Amino acid sequence: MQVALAAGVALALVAAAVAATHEGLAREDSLRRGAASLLLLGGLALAIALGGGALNRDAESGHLGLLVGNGATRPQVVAAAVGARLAALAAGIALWGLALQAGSLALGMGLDGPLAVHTLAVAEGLALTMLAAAAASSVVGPVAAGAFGAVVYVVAQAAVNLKAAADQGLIGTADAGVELLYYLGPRAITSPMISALQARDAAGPAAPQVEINDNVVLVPAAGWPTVAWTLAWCVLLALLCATGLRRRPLS
Amino acid sequence: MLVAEGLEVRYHGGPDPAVRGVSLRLAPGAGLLVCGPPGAGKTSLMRGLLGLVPRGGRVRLPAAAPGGPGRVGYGPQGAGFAEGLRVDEAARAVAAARGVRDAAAAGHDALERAGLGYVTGWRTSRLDAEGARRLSLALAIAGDPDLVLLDDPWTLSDTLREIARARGRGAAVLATSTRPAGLAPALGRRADMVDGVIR
Repeated sequence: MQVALAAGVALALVAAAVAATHEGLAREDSLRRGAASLLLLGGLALAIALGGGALNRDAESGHLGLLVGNGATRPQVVAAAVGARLAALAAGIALWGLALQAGSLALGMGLDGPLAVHTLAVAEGLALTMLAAAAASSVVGPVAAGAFGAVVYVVAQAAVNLKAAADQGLIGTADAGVELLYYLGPRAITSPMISALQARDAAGPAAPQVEINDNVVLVPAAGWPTVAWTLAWCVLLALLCATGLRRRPLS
Repeated sequence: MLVAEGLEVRYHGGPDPAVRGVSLRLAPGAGLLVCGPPGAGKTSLMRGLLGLVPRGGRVRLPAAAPGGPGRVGYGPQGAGFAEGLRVDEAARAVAAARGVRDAAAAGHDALERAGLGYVTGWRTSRLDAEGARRLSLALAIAGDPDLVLLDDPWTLSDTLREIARARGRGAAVLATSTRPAGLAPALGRRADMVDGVIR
């Protein structure tokens, strides 16, 4: 965990150093592009690593059995294990966010409000990923649980991208399926910053421009209903963590 | 204190239960040593009693008084049960899970009694096999529970003293072991377990 956090801070410094080689809007774009890449890719790695081993390792090693055997309830140990990992993830993202803001200050751009909003948006998506992996970790091993978390994130992002494409009339006969996925499944949170960068094809690996049949899909920034919907999914996955461990044998 | 009737433990819905039709009754101050070869079902018996694995039959454990400390102390077998923790963190966590008011003090006291007072700041992974058995003992006795379950304890003088002490204050003690060694006299009663059945 400490290594991951330190690596993230180092990469934030690299992003700031790269941005320093540009001027004006290009400098701002460069810093935001680097920030978005670090927050998404580094954050996903962190979320998957934390969530994938949230319950299975401790259940196998005898740690959870020790606590339950000595009086803790299963919901209590789930809340402690998953809550601690969620707090660690939040602390990691906050640390990286602070490092990026420090970079922005050092480059003379002041505190970056849109980047701060983007950091919060990414944090919600990463919480969704971590909780999905943690829920799976109550029944399968770390690798499978981590893969499940990653798939949930991809599905959430696909739901948003496909809905945007459907709204632009680019999907055709599959509209109903896209609507079903969007209104039932989890959704990724697109910040205004990343939406604007993506529209200009300047978001880098964090949000490559989406095209369908050579038509550019403009993914709009998420509204409050989407933020609330994804939070509801987070709560559902947290409940699944407890449900999964309810009947699992503990060593 | 502890009552089990027709206890059955079956893993993953398998055809052969690991524990079959076990009935036990331990009164306050009583002791019982369950002996058997590896794979006989001793650990499954412990886990079944504690509800760590799906079980059939009826089990009654000492109920915690409202707002009071939990009354079952469990010392697991093996060494990985407190992975990633320091010795004092493990003892404190268990005492806290049991609802002991001053968990840190109870944990420290238990570590002293189990002979680990000088390594409280160590990572549990630094403990050798004997250290792990001492830690398991400390976790089982932290906060002086009414029922002490010891899975595969070593016959150490500290173990024998704590068994006597627990029984002396009215706690029931159930231990499992592959060999009776010196544990049988300390516990008073012995039962043999073979193929999941107590004979």
